[in-house]
Amino acid sequence: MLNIKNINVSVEDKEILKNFNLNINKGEIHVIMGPNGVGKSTLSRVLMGDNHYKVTSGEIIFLDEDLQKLSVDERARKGIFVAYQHPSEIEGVNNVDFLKAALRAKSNKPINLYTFANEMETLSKNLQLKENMLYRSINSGFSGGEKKKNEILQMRLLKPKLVILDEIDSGLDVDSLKIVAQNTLEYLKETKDTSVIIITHYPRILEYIKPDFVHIVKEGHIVKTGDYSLALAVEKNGFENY
Amino acid sequence: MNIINIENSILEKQLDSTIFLKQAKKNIIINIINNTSLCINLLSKEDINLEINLNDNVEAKIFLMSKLENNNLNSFIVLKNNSNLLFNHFSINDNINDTKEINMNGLSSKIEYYYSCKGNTKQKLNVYHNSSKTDSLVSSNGISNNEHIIFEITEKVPKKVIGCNLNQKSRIINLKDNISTIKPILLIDEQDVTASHSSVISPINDKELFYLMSRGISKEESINLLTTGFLVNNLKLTKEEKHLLFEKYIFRR
Ligand SMILES: Nc1ncnc2c1ncn2[C@@H]1O[C@H](COP(=O)(O)OP(=O)(O)OP(=O)(O)O)[C@@H](O)[C@H]1O
Ligand SMILES: [Mg+2]
Repeated sequence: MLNIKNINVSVEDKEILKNFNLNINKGEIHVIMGPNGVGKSTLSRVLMGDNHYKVTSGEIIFLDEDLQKLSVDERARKGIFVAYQHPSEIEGVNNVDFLKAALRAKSNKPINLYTFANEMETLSKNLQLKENMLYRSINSGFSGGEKKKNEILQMRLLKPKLVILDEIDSGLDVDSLKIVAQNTLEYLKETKDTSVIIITHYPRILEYIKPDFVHIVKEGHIVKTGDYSLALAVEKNGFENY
Repeated sequence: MNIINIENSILEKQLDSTIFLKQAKKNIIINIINNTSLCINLLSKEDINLEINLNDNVEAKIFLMSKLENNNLNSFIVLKNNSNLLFNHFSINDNINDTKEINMNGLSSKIEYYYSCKGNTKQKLNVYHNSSKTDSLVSSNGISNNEHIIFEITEKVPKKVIGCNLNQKSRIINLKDNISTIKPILLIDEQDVTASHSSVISPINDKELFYLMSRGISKEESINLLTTGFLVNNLKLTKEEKHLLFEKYIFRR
């Protein structure tokens, strides 16, 4: 599904990722942990194609295609989805218009408004998001938790093949974390081939979503790979030993 | 809602007794006698002069939508004692001089003026605070796609007119590298006044653009969503008015 081969990434001439490698197969769940500022969010931005982040060498292959040749919107339509650590607030553009435009772009045909309305109702109910939030400006005035839920709502609506959850668990209360995790699990059940990268600082979300691999990133690349128990070890002892 | 529709010099109207209309060729005079709301739709390639008078104590809402080409729109607004006008103007312009003069002649009169435009525009707005305790809020948003937008907004308060409140906000988004200009001019001859103004000319917000595109929406459509939001959000419209605007002026699939 995704093969990141030896990439170097810099932001404003500062090198963040160095000789970074990661291979993800269909249906796998990978976790990335690492100290603040190590470049975890940078990785998600690079995959999405944010041009502030320059890939100076290496290659990224996604579904047999050179990802760097694709624009941001093409990548999304090909199936990449990032739930951002800090989702943007966009005053003036309402959620429903935005979601319709995104769906239309993906399916390349007019959407059935009846099906759309039903789906929105089900999804927002599942996420315990108040339905009137759909008619407000995108994320504007949403609480931290509501923004995260709105990201998950978009994921479920757009049905991506590679999902990157960048600290989806930060800022969520216990109940919301459970709701978000369950929604993600439900989605993965629907689409068995979907692969996931979970970026997190806490093993808590992994109690719900069982990972296949846990990676630790330090000094610009993965320094150790293990399973769920590695996440628990990090929680207990920090990153010093790696 | 009262409606005046002018398309290529032909005027149609649907008005109740709160509004008195006089028309002489290109001069349209609207006298507002009682509390009301009015929607004016203007499609024109010729010059148009618009005069709006508000009686004492009248509270009115006017929503002007216009699509103008190579012409001058001259508006002259007079507010009497205690009158209160909410004026929204959405305009798609092609080489337009939009000149407005707002005369706040009555004590404690108040205007909220929201202007959103797209395309080649020169908006020249003069607000005269001729009476004490008058209150003006002027907010202008423009989208320029390779065109030149000029906002020249002048507000005057002479000596001995006291307790006025002036508030001015102008924002222009340039989609290409072009020159747009905002000139806020405050001519205040009196100490007892509160005034504020802000002007911003900027390109489109690339974080917002990135967010929309990262959900698969093309660059063109993302810019369309952002700019429409920027223009419509500046106006204080009711649901009904918004609906009308989208139906007539904004293409939405
Ligand atoms: N747009 C940017 N401009 C300048 N510096 C940036 C930018 N984005 C990231 N950086 C820098 O790159 C480094 C990595 O940032 P990144 O956000 O990827 O860290 P992270 O691993 O996600 O950290 P955290 O755990 O705190 O979320 C940091 O030093 C950060 O300051
Ligand atoms: Mg981060």
